[in-house]
Amino acid sequence: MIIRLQLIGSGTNTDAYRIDLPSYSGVITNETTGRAFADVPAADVSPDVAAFVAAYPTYDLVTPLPVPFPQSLANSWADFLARRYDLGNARWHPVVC
Amino acid sequence: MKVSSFAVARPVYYDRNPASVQSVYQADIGPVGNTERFTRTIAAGKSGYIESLYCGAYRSSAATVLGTVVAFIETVTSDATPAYKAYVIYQSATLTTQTSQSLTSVGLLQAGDIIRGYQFDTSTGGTNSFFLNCKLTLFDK
Repeated sequence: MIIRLQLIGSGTNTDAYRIDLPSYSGVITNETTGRAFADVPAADVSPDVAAFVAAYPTYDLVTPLPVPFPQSLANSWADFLARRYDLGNARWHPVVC
Repeated sequence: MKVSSFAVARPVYYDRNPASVQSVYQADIGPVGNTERFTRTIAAGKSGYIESLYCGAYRSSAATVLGTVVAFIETVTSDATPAYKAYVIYQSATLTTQTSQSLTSVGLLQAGDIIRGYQFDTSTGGTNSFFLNCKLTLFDK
């Protein structure tokens, strides 16, 4: 599913612009606003995050969300991804923004 | 005592709960720093066979100040060692200058391995079209 996410990194060879997720594709970025659209596998999106994304649709990479992405939801998504990939200490902390 | 067959081979990889997945990036864009356009991490209990890759770019409008245009796909093993799998580069003011690489049967990814696609353009102004595609078959270990 397409989700607008926080872009991290500085665009250098050692610190590329990227999204803190294990799998995604088709990334469209706005380095100025620090936002990016990405196609995230549906299996990687927890139901509560999917509900948040559906409740607050986004149409561009500029307009802020009407409400911030709750920290509790960010934590639960990080836990969901850690369980799903089960790769030891590997952790991801994506943020809808 | 009943003796069953001792020689039942394991199914081939594409018959072990397979899933075909594609990671794709295609866009015509202006200059941008190094940007990860797709990534795919192999989860525990799974492996991934890289069936094919395509990496390409062409200049679609002139730059004001010419820079280097790069697109590449790399794999990163679970010990965090990256290696290029496909890499294209040019520095040209000529419209439709293009370069691409297409590879098949590239190899196997194990749990914790990652495949990623990147592009960047150090020019000022102008645009390039980029194509980064990867097809994987994910299957049970």
